[in-house]
Amino acid sequence: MAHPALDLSGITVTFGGIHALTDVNLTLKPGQIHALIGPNGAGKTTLVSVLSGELKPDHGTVRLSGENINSLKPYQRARRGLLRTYQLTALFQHIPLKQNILLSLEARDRARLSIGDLFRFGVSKRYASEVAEILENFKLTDKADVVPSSLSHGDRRRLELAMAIIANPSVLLLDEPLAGLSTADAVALVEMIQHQLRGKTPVLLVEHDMDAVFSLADEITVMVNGNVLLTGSPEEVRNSEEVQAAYLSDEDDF
Amino acid sequence: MTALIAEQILNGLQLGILLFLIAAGLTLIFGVMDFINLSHGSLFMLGAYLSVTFIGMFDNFAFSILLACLSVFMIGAIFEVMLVRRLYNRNHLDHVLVTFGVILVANEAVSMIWGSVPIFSGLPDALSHQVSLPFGIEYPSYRLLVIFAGIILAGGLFYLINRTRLGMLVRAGASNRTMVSVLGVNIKLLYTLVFGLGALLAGFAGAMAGPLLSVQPGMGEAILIQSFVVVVIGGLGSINGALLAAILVGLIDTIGRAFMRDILGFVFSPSVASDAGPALSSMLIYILMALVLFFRPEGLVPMQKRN
Amino acid sequence: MHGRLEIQSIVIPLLAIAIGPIVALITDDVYVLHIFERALIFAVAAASLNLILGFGGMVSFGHAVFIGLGAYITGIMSNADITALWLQIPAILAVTGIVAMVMGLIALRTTGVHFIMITLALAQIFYYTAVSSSTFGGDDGLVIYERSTFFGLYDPWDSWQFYGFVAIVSLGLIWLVTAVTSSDFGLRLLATRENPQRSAALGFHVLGTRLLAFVIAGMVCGLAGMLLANQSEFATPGYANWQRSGELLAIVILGGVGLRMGPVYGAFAFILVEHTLASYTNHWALYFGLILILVVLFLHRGLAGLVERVLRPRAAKRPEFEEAR
Repeated sequence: MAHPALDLSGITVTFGGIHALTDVNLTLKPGQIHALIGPNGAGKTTLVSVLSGELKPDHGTVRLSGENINSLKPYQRARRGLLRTYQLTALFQHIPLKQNILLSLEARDRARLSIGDLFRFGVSKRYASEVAEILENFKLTDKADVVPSSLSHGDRRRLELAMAIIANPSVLLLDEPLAGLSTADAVALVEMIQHQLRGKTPVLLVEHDMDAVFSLADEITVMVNGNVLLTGSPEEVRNSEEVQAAYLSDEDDF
Repeated sequence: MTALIAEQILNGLQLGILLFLIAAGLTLIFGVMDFINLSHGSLFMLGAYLSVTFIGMFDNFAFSILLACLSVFMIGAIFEVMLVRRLYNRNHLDHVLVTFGVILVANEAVSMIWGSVPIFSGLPDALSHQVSLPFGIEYPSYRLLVIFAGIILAGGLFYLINRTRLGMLVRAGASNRTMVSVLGVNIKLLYTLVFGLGALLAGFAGAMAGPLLSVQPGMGEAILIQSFVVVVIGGLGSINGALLAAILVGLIDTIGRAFMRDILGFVFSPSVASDAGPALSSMLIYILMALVLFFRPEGLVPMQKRN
Repeated sequence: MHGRLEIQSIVIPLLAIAIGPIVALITDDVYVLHIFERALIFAVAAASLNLILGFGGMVSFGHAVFIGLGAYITGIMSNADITALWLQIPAILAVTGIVAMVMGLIALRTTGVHFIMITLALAQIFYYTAVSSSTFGGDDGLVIYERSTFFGLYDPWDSWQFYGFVAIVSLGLIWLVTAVTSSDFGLRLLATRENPQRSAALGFHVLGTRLLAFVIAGMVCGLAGMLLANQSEFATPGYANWQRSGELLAIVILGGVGLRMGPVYGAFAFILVEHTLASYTNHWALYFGLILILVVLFLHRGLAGLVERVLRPRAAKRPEFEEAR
């Protein structure tokens, strides 16, 4: 049997005695979009940090395609294809959008640092056609030379997503990709995720927007107070009284 | 030998106290305003020059020191209002460069006013004798005065910070900038006062150190760098850390300078020892700082940050 | 744009080496060559600092240590009758490279204010070593009796030929730094400046990238020290003290931090201000201090930014010219 794309078992994280995550298990199957939901403070962002390697868990193991990656640093995980986006967009603010994309392509093809980089020039020429295509796909063509710090929020979100997708990840973590977007922008981005990722890349989606979650997810994990409450299909989650009691009842957009 | 070591320890303590007075201002200004002030040493220099000048004018030691301190406080406050205030929302590189520029200006201004030749200010007669301490230690009374005055001022500073409303605001401001501004405090005035206070401490250190050093342009730089070492070892923004680190640096530096040659002499030939001794002793505090930063990057007593 | 050679980066350094001889010919005064030699040497040192400061976001307050190292190695070798550049240059590159590696490994563990302070402290360690090494002149410095030679291709004691030597080496080094910033590596370096966390999340080795830049900058600056030792026939601890490091930072800012040609503008402005003012007043540092304060306060992106705005008003907002944060 093929290994799951991503497999977490028994993840526990404490901050000064307080349990942020307690014995969290989660399995992301190849090709699936798996949503992670829960009220604020449920530990979703903590879990994403554990996955990307920015935070070390006290207990538990993280496996990427069956390989234990617990001891790997963020850049090493990224080189194995585990990429993430950030809740607050994290772009290279003062260099043009096109270069942001170039960096992502460079990371895909040649992440390793080598002295040879000093003697290689013309990265923009080498990737010219690919960059043009990406800009087209993500509707950013007319902003190619703009720096992210002067982009609109929606554009920045799209760029953030583009940079993660084009690096051809084996697993993609999307940390609240829709946060702060207008309805129209959110719909466009959901469309983009469907189109670009569905069936190709396994995605762990952390999101508050329930419409988006239920339209995208193949499977949903609900977390409350650092514990996994339930994992199941959207139908099961929607019908679970436990979930409704803990979470969904007081959520306006459900 | 015991007397010699005891004397050096007292010297180290005295240097430590001077360093603390300067470092306290630096670390306060950094903690509250997030501002790096390289020109803090220039305020030290001003304190020295002004006290020497006032002593010449009024022939009253205590009054001259007091007047020098108040003048430096005023100069610091004006400096804050005119220049520093514009830089709070800039990055640290800009702080470093502007205050580096201020050092150049201050040194040249001082040498234009007082000349570039070192000035030696005599001690008042009442303070220029030796005091007999227990264990047969003879120690200059003026240095003893520096230690006591420094301790008193340091005590006053701790009282101010831990017991008064101003101190409460300073502590709050150091750990949570936005909170203080919502409290409806006149934040501009607070910043000016904190800067002035830092200037006053540096000015006092300069005024007291004047008779022990040669008063000359650029005299602030050596002590500034040492004070920065103190601030970094203690933990940026931490007054308690600054005190601990200042005493530590003062003692290590003084004792190293006094005995390093002899210590090396046990192991190496005299010529090597006399060559390497001074080098190693000057380096000691920088090596200490590099070690502290390597093992405890936040310093010995890190400033408490509340979110 | 990135990866494309800019005409400016080729032409400005060529102009920079041409100004000296032109002025010397017009005024019929060979002495002015010495002033322009110094300007070129400082331009090289500042360019190497700009690589880590402007493109890597590392505010090193100890960069002058590499000038000191380069100068001392040159002086010590020359006085031992090893004047051949093909021996001196590898020695300088090896020593400065190793020192920069060690310094970088310690300092790059920290960021922000701590980085500023630890680079300062590490440079002071070298400074005090030089001050107390009586074998090499200690506090008084080391007088250098022989200038470096290169297979007898030029006469180092002929003013014109020596200027040619300084100009060619400087030109090469400035172009070298420009090439590094324009290479694929340069783009990665920018990425670590802009967002180290994101760089790592993409799979780049942030520390390694920074360290490589730090080492290259140290080695280039060491060669600037070699030039300075030859030019002044002297090596002194003063080359490596913290005021010198501060001046290098000031030159980079004056010229425009993170702008490829900024250091060239900055160094020429610095030397010319120094030289012009020094002939009127002993207190030229006062005016330099004032200029520095005003530039930081009001001249965003320095002289090169100003030139850019005058020459190409529409291109002035080009993002590549954003300063380091």
